[in-house]
Amino acid sequence: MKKSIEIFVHLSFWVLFILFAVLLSKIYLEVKPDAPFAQHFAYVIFMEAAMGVIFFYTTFFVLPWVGKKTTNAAILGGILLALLILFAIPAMGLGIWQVLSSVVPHLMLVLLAFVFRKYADSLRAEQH
Amino acid sequence: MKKTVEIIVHTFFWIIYTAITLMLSKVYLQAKPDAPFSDQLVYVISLELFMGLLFFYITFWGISWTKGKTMRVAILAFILLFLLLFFSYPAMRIGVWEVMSSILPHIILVFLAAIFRKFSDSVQLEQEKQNLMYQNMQSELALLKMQLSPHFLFNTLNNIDYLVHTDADKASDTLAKLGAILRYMIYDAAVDKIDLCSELSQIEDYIGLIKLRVKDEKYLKYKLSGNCQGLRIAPMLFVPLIENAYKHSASKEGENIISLEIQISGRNLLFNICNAYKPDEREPQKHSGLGMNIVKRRLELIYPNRHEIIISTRENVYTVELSLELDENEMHSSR
Repeated sequence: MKKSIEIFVHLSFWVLFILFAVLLSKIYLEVKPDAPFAQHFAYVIFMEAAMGVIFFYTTFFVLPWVGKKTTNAAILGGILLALLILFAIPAMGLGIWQVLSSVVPHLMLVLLAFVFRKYADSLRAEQH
Repeated sequence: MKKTVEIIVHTFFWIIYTAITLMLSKVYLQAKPDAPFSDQLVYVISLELFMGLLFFYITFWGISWTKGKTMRVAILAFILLFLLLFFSYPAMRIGVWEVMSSILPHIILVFLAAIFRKFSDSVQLEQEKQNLMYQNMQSELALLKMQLSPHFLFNTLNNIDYLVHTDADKASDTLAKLGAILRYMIYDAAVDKIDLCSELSQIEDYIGLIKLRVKDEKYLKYKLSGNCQGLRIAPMLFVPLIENAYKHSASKEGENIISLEIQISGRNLLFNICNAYKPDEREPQKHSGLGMNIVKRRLELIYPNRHEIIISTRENVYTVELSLELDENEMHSSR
């Protein structure tokens, strides 16, 4: 029962995340129909979701392991930083706001993954 | 410490939220520099933040307030729906994507607020669990100290020694009681909840030993009414209260110096113990401190809002009245 609640919460979160990504892209395309990604809309949304999933679940699944040692926290920090830079590289030619628009939402996902982890732990504790 | 983590998480969340809002507006303005809000960016960001805070914290605190009651859930849902429509109204004249862009982020915030609520509850739960473990440990230690004190053991063993010569059967019976109490304290009472009938049986054994210490059959009057079957309770809640009454009683001989009554009615349990105290004692049982404090703290942690403890002194009689309301988890039949 508790596991199904957890899966439902995660699914709802990703549905809302994708809807939000679609919405922002649509609004942007309304004011700039000739944006470079206009022809690859589905691909861009897919990439956004994929990057989000990577950030979120890297944090979510690794957190219990991180709590055991300070070195583990440093390793996770290193991985997340490398991913942030990797995903921000394509935006670097476009401007500072575009770079930030790649970095900041992923930071938010890391924070939310932490909160979701705690939520999952509380569900498990409740079951115990 | 845990509260600090919660505050840090919330603060970070709102910093990142504001940064995302600012960033998206800037990207939008780059594509459309003549957008209507271009001159009032700070105002727009503040308004966005205000609306976000409103949605988030109405949900965050509202969920606690509802306590799962249907009526309250409906009121909360109505308030959120009203706010959603109210804030999306200005966008209705612009276009469907604008309406969606007003509604969807707020739905996401409501969703996240519910998750944050769970996060907050888990932080609190963890803290309470640690407190409870600490209190249980303290309580076990205090009980062991109290019961295994040389005074208690020497007194009981001396009495048994006397009985061996005068009444061998009673001596054997008393030894068995002592053994049962020690076994119960060390092994059985190490769980969170225990069968109420077992706990009452231990109380009876304990009373038996007290009577042996005072050598007067009617020194302690004990009355039990109701059915203990199928009920569970936190172990060792009552023994410190009985020991306290004995320790501070006016005399160690005589009749009805201590009176103990336990009433079980459905899932309600009433424990009442009275003892006469010395008239010259100005503040009777003031120094029962540690034991009584542990009982009170355990009650707060294990039976929050489901217990009442009243301590009174009247005409040289010290009374402790404890009422407990057991929940469904403490009834075997519902498991």
